[in-house]
Amino acid sequence: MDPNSMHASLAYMPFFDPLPIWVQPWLWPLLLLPLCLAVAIVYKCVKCRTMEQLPREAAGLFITIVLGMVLTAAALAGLAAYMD
Amino acid sequence: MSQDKSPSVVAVVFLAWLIPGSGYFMIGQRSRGITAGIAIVALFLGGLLVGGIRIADPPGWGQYGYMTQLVQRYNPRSREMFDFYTRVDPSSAEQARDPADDDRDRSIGPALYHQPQAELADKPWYLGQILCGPIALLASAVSINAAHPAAGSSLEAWPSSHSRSWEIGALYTAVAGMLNLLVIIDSAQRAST
Repeated sequence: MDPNSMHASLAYMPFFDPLPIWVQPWLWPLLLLPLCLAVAIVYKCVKCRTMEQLPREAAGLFITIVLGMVLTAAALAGLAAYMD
Repeated sequence: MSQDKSPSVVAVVFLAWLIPGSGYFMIGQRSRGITAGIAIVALFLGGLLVGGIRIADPPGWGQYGYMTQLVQRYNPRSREMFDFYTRVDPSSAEQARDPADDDRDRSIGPALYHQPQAELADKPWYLGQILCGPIALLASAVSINAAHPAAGSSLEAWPSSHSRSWEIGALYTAVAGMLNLLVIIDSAQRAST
């Protein structure tokens, strides 16, 4: 199917059109989660000696990254508010 | 005399690039390979989902999906050619074939062939994306096709996303490639020991 003719319908096409996440702005920060999850899984795939360790180790790293990001964001927001 | 049946490091590296996670497969670590491969491909596809197919934006191709061209323009005042090249982003197949505005202009050829470093420096995130393997090349081919203006229109069939959609899509796809590089290096190291 020719993508040019497909687009004529103007309907949302997954993987061709951007995800219309801007309709709910509070969803933006949640896009951090899949990225952190993938990083945690792949990193622990490389580091773990056995794959039995992977779920626990990856979950720990995932939580650490997300908490780190949240704390950093909170600290920066506090600093910005203080500077204002 | 014992025969060494372990796969060569070069083969492991190439296969690991070709199919994310398959380097581990070659050295017998199947669950590790499947887990890493699925995570990397899912992250890459997630990037395409968030930012749209135009996230795959290969160097050397312009906004409308045609190869950017270099042209040496004619300077009518000095009646000489300018001593620099102008980069032209063609908006049609005709312009891609003949990017010169004037008969006296000299077409140099695709910018990617003549100044690859400059083209790559223009889109550095593609270095990360290409590390995901042929899936990035396939996405780029579809993206180029989707960028061509529709018949009777001067606009791209699928415009590039922008702002956060573009940033997050590019981040996902580039990080997926970086993670695949990590996996390639690790599988090669495991294969060599």
